[in-house]
Amino acid sequence: MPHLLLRKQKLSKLIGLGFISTCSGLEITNIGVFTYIGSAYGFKLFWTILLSATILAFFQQLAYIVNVEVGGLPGFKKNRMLYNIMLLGLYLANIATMTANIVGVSVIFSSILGVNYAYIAVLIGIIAYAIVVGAKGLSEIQRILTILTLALASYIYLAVMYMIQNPKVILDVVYGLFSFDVKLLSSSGLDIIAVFGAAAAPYALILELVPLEKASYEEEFASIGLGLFFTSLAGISISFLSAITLYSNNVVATTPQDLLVVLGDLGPLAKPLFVIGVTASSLLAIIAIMIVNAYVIYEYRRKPSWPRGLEPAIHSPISRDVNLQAIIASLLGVGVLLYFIGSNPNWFVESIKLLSIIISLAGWTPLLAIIYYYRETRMRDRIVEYVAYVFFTLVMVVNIMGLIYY
Amino acid sequence: MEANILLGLSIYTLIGLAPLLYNYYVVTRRHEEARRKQGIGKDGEGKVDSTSGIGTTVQIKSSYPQIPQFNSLVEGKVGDKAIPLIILVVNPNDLKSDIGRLVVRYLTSKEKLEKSSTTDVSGNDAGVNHEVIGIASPVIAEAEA
Repeated sequence: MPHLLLRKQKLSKLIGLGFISTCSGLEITNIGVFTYIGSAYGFKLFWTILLSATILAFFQQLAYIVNVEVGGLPGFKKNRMLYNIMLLGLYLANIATMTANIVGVSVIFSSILGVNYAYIAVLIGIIAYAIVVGAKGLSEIQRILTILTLALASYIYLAVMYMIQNPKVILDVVYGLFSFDVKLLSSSGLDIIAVFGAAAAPYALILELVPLEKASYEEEFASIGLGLFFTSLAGISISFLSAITLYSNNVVATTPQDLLVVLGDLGPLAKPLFVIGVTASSLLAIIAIMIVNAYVIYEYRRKPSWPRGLEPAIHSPISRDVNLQAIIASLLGVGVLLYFIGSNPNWFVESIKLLSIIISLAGWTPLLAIIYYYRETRMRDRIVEYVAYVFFTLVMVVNIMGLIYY
Repeated sequence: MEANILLGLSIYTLIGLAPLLYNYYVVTRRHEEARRKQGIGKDGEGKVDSTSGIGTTVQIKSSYPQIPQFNSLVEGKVGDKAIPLIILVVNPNDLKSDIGRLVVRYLTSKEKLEKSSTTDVSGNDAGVNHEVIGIASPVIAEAEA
Protein backbone atom coordinates (compact mmCIF):
# COMPACT_ATOMS: atom_id res chain seq x y z
CA MET A 1 0.00 0.00 0.00
CA PRO A 2 2.72 2.57 0.89
CA HIS A 3 4.53 2.23 -2.44
CA LEU A 4 1.28 2.79 -4.32
CA LEU A 5 0.70 5.82 -2.17
CA LEU A 6 4.16 7.18 -2.97
CA ARG A 7 3.63 6.71 -6.69
CA LYS A 8 0.51 8.84 -6.56
CA GLN A 9 2.22 11.78 -4.89
CA LYS A 10 4.58 14.30 -6.43
CA LEU A 11 8.00 14.53 -4.79
CA SER A 12 7.57 18.24 -4.06
CA LYS A 13 4.42 17.47 -2.09
CA LEU A 14 6.11 14.63 -0.23
CA ILE A 15 8.97 16.82 0.93
CA GLY A 16 6.55 19.02 2.81
CA LEU A 17 6.02 19.97 6.41
CA GLY A 18 5.37 16.32 7.44
CA PHE A 19 8.74 15.29 6.02
CA ILE A 20 10.57 18.22 7.62
CA SER A 21 8.92 17.78 11.01
CA THR A 22 9.70 14.04 11.09
CA CYS A 23 13.34 14.68 10.17
CA SER A 24 13.70 17.61 12.58
CA GLY A 25 13.39 15.07 15.41
CA LEU A 26 16.90 13.82 14.55
CA GLU A 27 18.86 16.31 16.63
CA ILE A 28 21.95 16.25 18.81
CA THR A 29 20.52 14.08 21.63
CA ASN A 30 19.65 11.39 19.07
CA ILE A 31 23.03 11.68 17.36
CA GLY A 32 24.75 11.27 20.74
CA VAL A 33 22.70 8.21 21.71
CA PHE A 34 23.00 6.59 18.26
CA THR A 35 26.77 7.11 18.33
CA TYR A 36 26.93 5.53 21.77
CA ILE A 37 24.84 2.42 20.99
CA GLY A 38 26.75 1.83 17.76
CA SER A 39 30.08 1.94 19.60
CA ALA A 40 28.88 -0.13 22.57
CA TYR A 41 26.76 -2.79 20.80
CA GLY A 42 27.79 -2.71 17.14
CA PHE A 43 24.78 -3.40 14.93
CA LYS A 44 22.80 -5.23 17.61
CA LEU A 45 20.54 -2.39 18.71
CA PHE A 46 19.76 -0.91 15.30
CA TRP A 47 16.17 -2.08 15.65
CA THR A 48 15.62 0.38 18.51
CA ILE A 49 16.33 3.29 16.13
CA LEU A 50 13.72 2.04 13.66
CA LEU A 51 11.15 1.39 16.35
CA SER A 52 11.52 4.72 18.15
CA ALA A 53 11.28 6.66 14.87
CA THR A 54 8.16 4.71 13.91
CA ILE A 55 6.46 5.51 17.21
CA LEU A 56 7.14 9.23 16.69
CA ALA A 57 5.70 8.97 13.16
CA PHE A 58 2.55 7.35 14.59
CA PHE A 59 2.02 10.30 16.93
CA GLN A 60 2.59 12.69 14.04
CA GLN A 61 -0.20 10.96 12.15
CA LEU A 62 -2.46 11.48 15.17
CA ALA A 63 -1.39 15.13 15.44
CA TYR A 64 -2.35 15.70 11.80
CA ILE A 65 -5.73 14.04 12.28
CA VAL A 66 -6.37 16.27 15.29
CA ASN A 67 -5.26 19.29 13.25
CA VAL A 68 -7.74 18.59 10.44
CA GLU A 69 -10.61 17.64 12.70
CA VAL A 70 -10.23 20.00 15.66
CA GLY A 71 -8.75 22.95 13.79
CA GLY A 72 -5.13 22.85 14.91
CA LEU A 73 -3.75 24.58 17.95
CA PRO A 74 -6.63 27.12 18.21
CA GLY A 75 -8.98 24.17 18.74
CA PHE A 76 -6.92 23.10 21.76
CA LYS A 77 -8.12 26.16 23.67
CA LYS A 78 -11.36 24.35 24.47
CA ASN A 79 -9.69 22.84 27.52
CA ARG A 80 -7.78 25.81 28.85
CA MET A 81 -6.00 23.96 31.66
CA LEU A 82 -4.67 21.23 29.38
CA TYR A 83 -3.69 23.92 26.86
CA ASN A 84 -1.69 25.85 29.45
CA ILE A 85 0.04 22.71 30.78
CA MET A 86 0.90 21.71 27.23
CA LEU A 87 2.38 25.10 26.40
CA LEU A 88 4.43 25.19 29.58
CA GLY A 89 5.85 21.69 29.00
CA LEU A 90 6.45 22.40 25.35
CA TYR A 91 8.27 25.67 25.99
CA LEU A 92 10.50 24.06 28.62
CA ALA A 93 11.31 21.09 26.35
CA ASN A 94 12.00 23.45 23.45
CA ILE A 95 14.47 25.57 25.40
CA ALA A 96 16.20 22.42 26.69
CA THR A 97 16.44 21.03 23.13
CA MET A 98 17.82 24.32 21.81
CA THR A 99 20.38 24.39 24.61
CA ALA A 100 21.45 20.79 23.89
CA ASN A 101 21.86 21.50 20.18
CA ILE A 102 23.76 24.74 20.70
CA VAL A 103 26.09 22.92 23.13
CA GLY A 104 26.53 19.99 20.71
CA VAL A 105 27.45 22.03 17.63
CA SER A 106 29.62 24.41 19.65
CA VAL A 107 31.68 21.59 21.14
CA ILE A 108 32.23 19.99 17.73
CA PHE A 109 33.27 23.25 16.05
CA SER A 110 35.34 24.17 19.06
CA SER A 111 37.37 20.95 18.69
CA ILE A 112 37.87 21.55 14.96
CA LEU A 113 38.68 25.26 15.03
CA GLY A 114 40.32 25.47 18.44
CA VAL A 115 38.03 28.35 19.44
CA ASN A 116 36.29 28.54 22.81
CA TYR A 117 32.87 26.95 22.49
CA ALA A 118 31.19 29.89 24.26
CA TYR A 119 31.90 32.11 21.23
CA ILE A 120 30.59 29.48 18.84
CA ALA A 121 27.46 29.01 20.95
CA VAL A 122 26.68 32.74 20.65
CA LEU A 123 27.41 32.63 16.90
CA ILE A 124 25.04 29.66 16.39
CA GLY A 125 22.34 31.53 18.29
CA ILE A 126 22.79 34.64 16.11
CA ILE A 127 22.74 32.59 12.87
CA ALA A 128 19.54 30.77 13.80
CA TYR A 129 17.87 34.02 14.90
CA ALA A 130 18.94 35.78 11.70
CA ILE A 131 17.52 32.98 9.53
CA VAL A 132 14.10 33.03 11.19
CA VAL A 133 13.71 36.78 11.63
CA GLY A 134 15.47 37.74 8.39
CA ALA A 135 13.50 35.38 6.16
CA LYS A 136 10.96 37.02 3.85
CA GLY A 137 8.27 34.52 4.69
CA LEU A 138 7.34 31.03 5.62
CA SER A 139 8.16 29.66 2.17
CA GLU A 140 11.73 30.92 2.47
CA ILE A 141 12.13 29.35 5.93
CA GLN A 142 10.62 26.13 4.61
CA ARG A 143 13.16 26.14 1.74
CA ILE A 144 16.01 26.55 4.23
CA LEU A 145 14.60 23.76 6.39
CA THR A 146 14.29 21.49 3.34
CA ILE A 147 17.94 22.08 2.41
CA LEU A 148 19.03 21.39 6.00
CA THR A 149 16.90 18.23 6.04
CA LEU A 150 18.39 16.96 2.81
CA ALA A 151 21.87 17.65 4.21
CA LEU A 152 21.20 14.78 6.62
CA ALA A 153 21.85 12.57 3.59
CA SER A 154 25.55 13.10 4.32
CA TYR A 155 25.33 10.42 7.05
CA ILE A 156 23.62 8.05 4.63
CA TYR A 157 26.21 8.78 1.93
CA LEU A 158 29.10 7.88 4.25
CA ALA A 159 27.42 4.64 5.37
CA VAL A 160 26.47 3.60 1.83
CA MET A 161 29.98 4.29 0.49
CA TYR A 162 31.42 2.02 3.17
CA MET A 163 28.89 -0.70 2.37
CA ILE A 164 29.73 -0.54 -1.34
CA GLN A 165 33.39 -1.09 -0.51
CA ASN A 166 32.58 -3.78 2.10
CA PRO A 167 29.41 -5.51 0.91
CA LYS A 168 29.76 -8.31 3.46
CA VAL A 169 28.72 -5.91 6.20
CA ILE A 170 25.24 -5.47 4.69
CA LEU A 171 24.04 -8.83 6.00
CA ASP A 172 25.21 -7.91 9.51
CA VAL A 173 23.32 -4.62 9.28
CA VAL A 174 20.12 -6.38 8.16
CA TYR A 175 20.56 -8.83 11.02
CA GLY A 176 21.05 -5.96 13.49
CA LEU A 177 17.94 -4.23 12.18
CA PHE A 178 15.59 -7.14 12.48
CA SER A 179 17.11 -9.38 15.13
CA PHE A 180 15.73 -9.17 18.65
CA ASP A 181 17.99 -10.74 21.26
CA VAL A 182 16.12 -11.26 24.54
CA LYS A 183 19.37 -11.73 26.50
CA LEU A 184 20.67 -8.39 25.25
CA LEU A 185 17.40 -6.78 26.24
CA SER A 186 18.05 -7.37 29.94
CA SER A 187 21.71 -6.32 29.83
CA SER A 188 21.13 -3.16 27.77
CA GLY A 189 17.75 -2.08 29.10
CA LEU A 190 18.85 1.41 30.15
CA ASP A 191 20.52 2.12 26.82
CA ILE A 192 17.39 1.04 24.98
CA ILE A 193 15.43 3.40 27.21
CA ALA A 194 17.87 6.17 26.26
CA VAL A 195 17.11 5.62 22.55
CA PHE A 196 13.37 5.95 23.14
CA GLY A 197 13.92 8.91 25.46
CA ALA A 198 15.97 10.76 22.84
CA ALA A 199 13.22 10.24 20.27
CA ALA A 200 10.95 12.68 22.13
CA ALA A 201 10.51 15.74 19.90
CA PRO A 202 7.40 17.65 21.00
CA TYR A 203 8.05 20.53 18.61
CA ALA A 204 7.83 18.06 15.69
CA LEU A 205 4.28 17.24 16.80
CA ILE A 206 3.33 20.92 17.06
CA LEU A 207 4.53 21.47 13.49
CA GLU A 208 1.76 19.07 12.49
CA LEU A 209 -0.76 21.32 14.24
CA VAL A 210 -0.31 24.50 12.23
CA PRO A 211 -3.50 25.56 10.38
CA LEU A 212 -3.81 24.11 6.91
CA GLU A 213 -4.64 25.76 3.62
CA LYS A 214 -5.56 22.38 2.21
CA ALA A 215 -6.01 19.12 4.04
CA SER A 216 -5.00 15.85 2.46
CA TYR A 217 -4.53 12.78 4.60
CA GLU A 218 -2.92 10.82 1.80
CA GLU A 219 -0.34 13.49 1.03
CA GLU A 220 0.54 14.19 4.64
CA PHE A 221 0.75 10.53 5.66
CA ALA A 222 2.96 9.85 2.66
CA SER A 223 5.12 12.82 3.64
CA ILE A 224 5.41 11.52 7.22
CA GLY A 225 6.20 8.05 5.85
CA LEU A 226 8.98 9.40 3.65
CA GLY A 227 10.32 11.40 6.60
CA LEU A 228 10.29 8.23 8.71
CA PHE A 229 12.19 6.33 6.03
CA PHE A 230 14.76 9.11 5.57
CA THR A 231 15.30 9.84 9.26
CA SER A 232 15.59 6.11 10.08
CA LEU A 233 18.22 5.70 7.37
CA ALA A 234 20.12 8.73 8.65
CA GLY A 235 19.91 7.53 12.28
CA ILE A 236 21.02 4.01 11.41
CA SER A 237 23.86 5.45 9.32
CA ILE A 238 25.16 7.42 12.33
CA SER A 239 25.09 4.28 14.48
CA PHE A 240 26.63 2.28 11.65
CA LEU A 241 29.56 4.72 11.31
CA SER A 242 30.12 4.43 15.04
CA ALA A 243 29.97 0.62 14.92
CA ILE A 244 32.49 0.23 12.10
CA THR A 245 35.01 2.68 13.53
CA LEU A 246 34.66 2.42 17.32
CA TYR A 247 32.96 -0.88 18.19
CA SER A 248 35.44 -2.82 16.07
CA ASN A 249 38.26 -1.23 18.13
CA ASN A 250 36.49 -1.75 21.45
CA VAL A 251 36.12 1.97 22.05
CA VAL A 252 32.85 3.17 23.58
CA ALA A 253 31.91 6.68 22.45
CA THR A 254 30.26 9.06 24.85
CA THR A 255 29.89 11.99 22.46
CA PRO A 256 29.58 12.58 18.70
CA GLN A 257 33.02 14.17 19.02
CA ASP A 258 34.51 10.73 19.80
CA LEU A 259 33.16 9.51 16.49
CA LEU A 260 34.41 12.56 14.62
CA VAL A 261 37.98 11.89 15.81
CA VAL A 262 38.12 8.43 14.18
CA LEU A 263 36.08 9.19 11.06
CA GLY A 264 39.23 10.26 9.21
CA ASP A 265 39.94 6.54 8.71
CA LEU A 266 37.02 6.39 6.27
CA GLY A 267 38.54 8.93 3.87
CA PRO A 268 39.16 12.67 3.57
CA LEU A 269 35.48 13.50 3.03
CA ALA A 270 34.19 11.65 6.07
CA LYS A 271 34.93 14.28 8.70
CA PRO A 272 33.60 17.32 6.78
CA LEU A 273 30.46 15.42 5.75
CA PHE A 274 29.79 14.35 9.32
CA VAL A 275 30.24 17.94 10.54
CA ILE A 276 27.83 19.12 7.81
CA GLY A 277 25.33 16.49 8.98
CA VAL A 278 25.57 17.41 12.67
CA THR A 279 25.37 21.15 11.92
CA ALA A 280 22.35 20.66 9.65
CA SER A 281 20.61 18.41 12.21
CA SER A 282 21.11 20.91 15.01
CA LEU A 283 20.19 24.01 12.98
CA LEU A 284 17.12 22.21 11.66
CA ALA A 285 15.97 21.45 15.20
CA ILE A 286 16.77 24.97 16.48
CA ILE A 287 14.94 26.72 13.61
CA ALA A 288 11.97 24.34 13.81
CA ILE A 289 11.75 25.08 17.54
CA MET A 290 11.93 28.83 16.96
CA ILE A 291 9.06 28.63 14.48
CA VAL A 292 7.03 26.52 16.87
CA ASN A 293 7.75 28.86 19.80
CA ALA A 294 6.73 31.90 17.74
CA TYR A 295 3.54 30.17 16.61
CA VAL A 296 2.40 28.86 20.00
CA ILE A 297 3.01 32.15 21.80
CA TYR A 298 1.32 34.11 18.98
CA GLU A 299 -1.65 31.77 19.13
CA TYR A 300 -1.75 32.04 22.92
CA ARG A 301 -1.94 35.84 22.77
CA ARG A 302 -3.97 36.07 19.56
CA LYS A 303 -7.04 38.30 19.63
CA PRO A 304 -10.06 37.41 17.46
CA SER A 305 -9.20 40.15 14.96
CA TRP A 306 -5.67 38.83 14.38
CA PRO A 307 -5.17 36.46 11.43
CA ARG A 308 -4.55 32.81 12.16
CA GLY A 309 -1.69 30.64 10.97
CA LEU A 310 2.04 30.23 10.89
CA GLU A 311 2.75 32.97 8.35
CA PRO A 312 1.24 35.88 10.35
CA ALA A 313 2.80 34.44 13.51
CA ILE A 314 6.29 34.56 11.98
CA HIS A 315 5.80 38.11 10.70
CA SER A 316 4.42 39.45 13.96
CA PRO A 317 6.58 41.40 16.42
CA ILE A 318 5.78 38.63 18.92
CA SER A 319 7.92 36.26 16.85
CA ARG A 320 11.00 38.50 17.09
CA ASP A 321 10.60 38.93 20.84
CA VAL A 322 9.87 35.29 21.57
CA ASN A 323 12.78 34.05 19.46
CA LEU A 324 15.19 36.52 20.99
CA GLN A 325 14.07 35.44 24.46
CA ALA A 326 14.43 31.76 23.48
CA ILE A 327 17.98 32.26 22.17
CA ILE A 328 18.97 34.20 25.29
CA ALA A 329 17.35 31.54 27.52
CA SER A 330 19.22 28.78 25.69
CA LEU A 331 22.55 30.59 25.92
CA LEU A 332 21.90 31.19 29.61
CA GLY A 333 21.18 27.45 29.83
CA VAL A 334 24.59 26.76 28.30
CA GLY A 335 26.11 29.12 30.87
CA VAL A 336 24.32 27.45 33.79
CA LEU A 337 25.48 24.01 32.65
CA LEU A 338 29.07 25.22 32.35
CA TYR A 339 28.93 26.86 35.78
CA PHE A 340 27.59 23.80 37.60
CA ILE A 341 29.20 20.90 35.78
CA GLY A 342 31.77 22.61 33.57
CA SER A 343 34.64 21.34 35.74
CA ASN A 344 33.53 17.73 35.22
CA PRO A 345 35.62 16.21 32.41
CA ASN A 346 32.46 14.54 31.11
CA TRP A 347 30.43 17.74 31.32
CA PHE A 348 29.18 17.43 27.76
CA VAL A 349 27.79 13.92 28.32
CA GLU A 350 26.28 14.93 31.65
CA SER A 351 24.71 18.02 30.07
CA ILE A 352 23.11 16.08 27.23
CA LYS A 353 21.86 13.44 29.68
CA LEU A 354 20.30 16.06 31.96
CA LEU A 355 18.74 17.97 29.06
CA SER A 356 17.39 14.74 27.53
CA ILE A 357 15.59 13.98 30.79
CA ILE A 358 14.13 17.50 30.92
CA ILE A 359 13.01 17.19 27.27
CA SER A 360 11.41 13.78 27.87
CA LEU A 361 9.71 14.89 31.09
CA ALA A 362 8.33 18.13 29.68
CA GLY A 363 7.73 16.87 26.17
CA TRP A 364 4.95 14.41 27.00
CA THR A 365 2.40 17.20 27.47
CA PRO A 366 1.67 17.78 23.74
CA LEU A 367 1.35 14.00 23.39
CA LEU A 368 -1.31 13.94 26.10
CA ALA A 369 -3.22 16.81 24.47
CA ILE A 370 -3.12 15.12 21.07
CA ILE A 371 -4.50 11.83 22.44
CA TYR A 372 -7.13 13.79 24.39
CA TYR A 373 -8.41 15.58 21.28
CA TYR A 374 -8.02 12.54 19.02
CA ARG A 375 -10.88 10.98 20.97
CA GLU A 376 -13.15 13.80 19.77
CA THR A 377 -12.44 13.35 16.08
CA ARG A 378 -14.51 11.51 13.47
CA MET A 379 -11.41 9.42 12.74
CA ARG A 380 -11.40 7.99 16.26
CA ASP A 381 -10.72 4.27 16.31
CA ARG A 382 -10.55 2.16 19.45
CA ILE A 383 -7.50 0.15 18.39
CA VAL A 384 -5.55 3.26 17.38
CA GLU A 385 -6.55 4.86 20.67
CA TYR A 386 -5.33 1.88 22.73
CA VAL A 387 -2.07 1.79 20.80
CA ALA A 388 -1.64 5.50 21.56
CA TYR A 389 -2.23 4.82 25.28
CA VAL A 390 0.33 1.98 25.23
CA PHE A 391 2.93 4.17 23.55
CA PHE A 392 2.16 7.03 25.91
CA THR A 393 2.64 4.69 28.89
CA LEU A 394 5.93 3.56 27.37
CA VAL A 395 7.07 7.19 27.18
CA MET A 396 6.08 7.67 30.83
CA VAL A 397 8.00 4.55 31.91
CA VAL A 398 11.03 5.77 29.97
CA ASN A 399 10.80 9.14 31.75
CA ILE A 400 10.51 7.62 35.22
CA MET A 401 13.29 5.09 34.63
CA GLY A 402 15.51 7.82 33.22
CA LEU A 403 14.86 9.99 36.26
CA ILE A 404 15.53 7.15 38.69
CA TYR A 405 18.79 6.08 37.09
CA TYR A 406 20.14 9.55 36.35
CA MET B 1 19.66 -16.79 15.09
CA GLU B 2 16.59 -17.40 12.89
CA ALA B 3 14.34 -17.30 15.96
CA ASN B 4 15.78 -13.90 16.90
CA ILE B 5 15.10 -12.50 13.44
CA LEU B 6 11.58 -13.92 13.46
CA LEU B 7 10.95 -12.36 16.86
CA GLY B 8 12.43 -9.03 15.78
CA LEU B 9 10.42 -8.91 12.58
CA SER B 10 7.23 -9.78 14.46
CA ILE B 11 7.82 -7.09 17.08
CA TYR B 12 8.71 -4.46 14.50
CA THR B 13 5.69 -5.32 12.38
CA LEU B 14 3.29 -5.39 15.33
CA ILE B 15 4.55 -2.40 17.29
CA GLY B 16 6.04 -0.33 14.51
CA LEU B 17 4.48 -0.75 11.10
CA ALA B 18 1.05 -2.14 11.96
CA PRO B 19 -0.19 0.93 13.89
CA LEU B 20 1.01 3.27 11.11
CA LEU B 21 -0.61 1.32 8.30
CA TYR B 22 -3.75 0.56 10.29
CA ASN B 23 -4.17 4.25 11.14
CA TYR B 24 -3.77 5.13 7.47
CA TYR B 25 -6.38 2.51 6.57
CA VAL B 26 -8.83 3.81 9.20
CA VAL B 27 -8.43 7.44 8.14
CA THR B 28 -8.90 6.77 4.42
CA ARG B 29 -11.91 4.52 5.11
CA ARG B 30 -13.58 7.09 7.39
CA HIS B 31 -12.86 9.81 4.89
CA GLU B 32 -14.49 7.79 2.14
CA GLU B 33 -17.51 7.20 4.40
CA ALA B 34 -17.79 10.91 5.13
CA ARG B 35 -17.74 11.66 1.42
CA ARG B 36 -20.48 9.13 0.75
CA LYS B 37 -22.62 10.63 3.49
CA GLN B 38 -22.28 14.04 1.85
CA GLY B 39 -23.31 12.59 -1.49
CA ILE B 40 -20.06 13.34 -3.18
CA GLY B 41 -18.99 9.86 -4.13
CA LYS B 42 -16.86 9.56 -7.22
CA ASP B 43 -19.60 8.12 -9.41
CA GLY B 44 -22.03 10.85 -8.52
CA GLU B 45 -19.88 13.78 -9.52
CA GLY B 46 -19.41 13.36 -13.20
CA LYS B 47 -16.87 12.29 -15.68
CA VAL B 48 -14.94 13.68 -18.59
CA ASP B 49 -15.83 11.44 -21.47
CA SER B 50 -12.86 12.30 -23.55
CA THR B 51 -9.59 14.15 -23.07
CA SER B 52 -9.30 15.39 -26.64
CA GLY B 53 -10.20 19.00 -25.77
CA ILE B 54 -12.38 20.65 -28.43
CA GLY B 55 -15.94 19.50 -28.35
CA THR B 56 -15.53 17.36 -25.28
CA THR B 57 -18.71 17.00 -23.32
CA VAL B 58 -18.40 17.34 -19.62
CA GLN B 59 -21.12 15.86 -17.51
CA ILE B 60 -21.19 17.09 -13.97
CA LYS B 61 -23.43 16.14 -11.15
CA SER B 62 -23.30 16.89 -7.49
CA SER B 63 -25.87 16.08 -4.87
CA TYR B 64 -24.40 18.11 -2.07
CA PRO B 65 -27.44 19.09 -0.02
CA GLN B 66 -26.49 22.69 0.75
CA ILE B 67 -26.20 23.72 -2.89
CA PRO B 68 -29.45 22.59 -4.54
CA GLN B 69 -28.46 23.80 -7.99
CA PHE B 70 -25.88 21.07 -8.15
CA ASN B 71 -28.43 18.36 -7.63
CA SER B 72 -29.43 18.51 -11.24
CA LEU B 73 -27.32 17.21 -14.02
CA VAL B 74 -25.34 19.99 -15.62
CA GLU B 75 -23.86 19.72 -19.03
CA GLY B 76 -21.27 22.02 -20.50
CA LYS B 77 -19.31 22.27 -23.70
CA VAL B 78 -15.59 22.74 -23.78
CA GLY B 79 -14.59 25.43 -26.22
CA ASP B 80 -11.35 25.76 -28.13
CA LYS B 81 -10.05 28.56 -25.88
CA ALA B 82 -8.48 28.16 -22.48
CA ILE B 83 -11.61 29.19 -20.66
CA PRO B 84 -12.21 27.47 -17.34
CA LEU B 85 -13.18 23.91 -17.94
CA ILE B 86 -13.65 22.87 -14.37
CA ILE B 87 -14.41 24.90 -11.35
CA LEU B 88 -13.75 23.55 -7.94
CA VAL B 89 -16.48 24.66 -5.60
CA VAL B 90 -15.39 25.17 -2.07
CA ASN B 91 -17.85 24.87 0.72
CA PRO B 92 -17.26 27.59 3.34
CA ASN B 93 -18.95 25.50 6.01
CA ASP B 94 -16.13 23.00 5.81
CA LEU B 95 -13.41 25.61 5.88
CA LYS B 96 -11.96 26.42 9.25
CA SER B 97 -11.57 30.06 8.39
CA ASP B 98 -13.46 33.32 8.44
CA ILE B 99 -14.52 33.12 4.79
CA GLY B 100 -18.21 33.72 4.75
CA ARG B 101 -19.07 33.14 1.13
CA LEU B 102 -18.89 30.45 -1.41
CA VAL B 103 -15.45 30.30 -2.93
CA VAL B 104 -14.83 29.25 -6.46
CA ARG B 105 -11.51 28.69 -8.08
CA TYR B 106 -10.91 28.50 -11.78
CA LEU B 107 -8.38 25.99 -12.90
CA THR B 108 -5.70 27.40 -15.15
CA SER B 109 -5.28 25.89 -18.57
CA LYS B 110 -2.20 24.04 -17.35
CA GLU B 111 -4.09 22.55 -14.44
CA LYS B 112 -6.91 21.80 -16.80
CA LEU B 113 -4.62 19.76 -18.98
CA GLU B 114 -3.24 17.88 -15.99
CA LYS B 115 -6.70 17.15 -14.68
CA SER B 116 -7.89 16.15 -18.10
CA SER B 117 -5.30 13.44 -18.32
CA THR B 118 -7.43 11.41 -15.98
CA THR B 119 -10.79 10.00 -16.88
CA ASP B 120 -12.53 10.85 -13.63
CA VAL B 121 -11.81 14.47 -12.93
CA SER B 122 -13.96 15.09 -9.93
CA GLY B 123 -12.81 11.91 -8.26
CA ASN B 124 -9.35 13.42 -8.04
CA ASP B 125 -10.50 16.57 -6.35
CA ALA B 126 -13.84 16.42 -4.66
CA GLY B 127 -13.76 14.73 -1.32
CA VAL B 128 -10.02 14.11 -1.38
CA ASN B 129 -9.51 17.64 -0.23
CA HIS B 130 -12.12 18.01 2.42
CA GLU B 131 -13.16 21.52 1.42
CA VAL B 132 -13.81 20.68 -2.21
CA ILE B 133 -17.31 19.42 -2.64
CA GLY B 134 -17.75 19.18 -6.34
CA ILE B 135 -17.31 20.66 -9.76
CA ALA B 136 -19.67 22.74 -11.80
CA SER B 137 -19.96 24.63 -15.04
CA PRO B 138 -18.65 28.24 -15.00
CA VAL B 139 -22.12 29.76 -15.26
CA ILE B 140 -23.55 28.04 -12.22
CA ALA B 141 -20.47 28.52 -10.11
CA GLU B 142 -20.35 32.23 -10.93
CA ALA B 143 -23.98 32.56 -10.01
CA GLU B 144 -23.30 30.83 -6.72
CA ALA B 145 -20.34 33.07 -5.97
